[in-house]
Amino acid sequence: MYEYELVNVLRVGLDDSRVKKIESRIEQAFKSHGGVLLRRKEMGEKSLAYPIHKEMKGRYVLFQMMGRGGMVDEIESHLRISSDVLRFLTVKVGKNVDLKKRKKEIDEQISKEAVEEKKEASVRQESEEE
Amino acid sequence: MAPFVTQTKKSRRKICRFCADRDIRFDYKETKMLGHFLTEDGKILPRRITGNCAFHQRGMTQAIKRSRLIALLPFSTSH
Repeated sequence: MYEYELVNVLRVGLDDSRVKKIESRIEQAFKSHGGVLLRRKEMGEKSLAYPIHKEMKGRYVLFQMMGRGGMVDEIESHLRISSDVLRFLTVKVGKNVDLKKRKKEIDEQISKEAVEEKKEASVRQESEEE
Repeated sequence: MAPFVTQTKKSRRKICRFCADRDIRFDYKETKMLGHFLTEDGKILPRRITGNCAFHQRGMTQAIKRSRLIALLPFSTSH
C-alpha cells in the first residue's frame, strides 16, 4: 500500500450536490480498489496564480489516502472528465505505510491544527476589540 | 597599466538552511515558504544564490513545479 495526497482545484460557487457527485466517485474508487481515506481537508478558496478556464479563484480540497496505483488511475480518469475540476494533482507520499500508525499521526495532527486555529482566532478577536 | 587590486571582500560559504535546521520542511502546498526561493518574475533562484545544498535544491525545485501545476505559484508573471 502506498500513501497518496490528492489536491483538487474546484470551481468556486459550485452547488454542494455537484461537489458531492465528484467525491462520491472518489469514494467508489476507494471501495473497488480497497483504498482508505485518511483525511479530507478543505484548504479554502484561493486566488489562482494564473487564470484557468477564465476562472481567477479556486476551491482547494486535499485528500490524504492509502491505496494502490489502480485506484489513482480510476480517480484521475473521473476527475479528468469533470468540468467542475479545474486542476488536480496526485503525489505519492509514502511506501509500505503502516495504516494504524499513520492514522494515529494524522489524528494528532488534526487536533494540533485545531488548537492552533483556536489560538489564531482568539488573537484575531483581541486585535479587533482593540 | 591598471593597478593591482587586492580582493577586499572575502566570499563566505553559504550554509544550506534545510541542513542546518532539519525541522524546516518544504511542501508544495505552502507557497509562502517557496516564495523565498523565487525571483519577482516567478523564476526559481539558482543554488549559488539560495545557498541550498544539491539535495535540498532538487526537492525545492520539485515542490515549486508541483505548486505551479495547481496554480498556487505562477509559471511567469505575464499571465
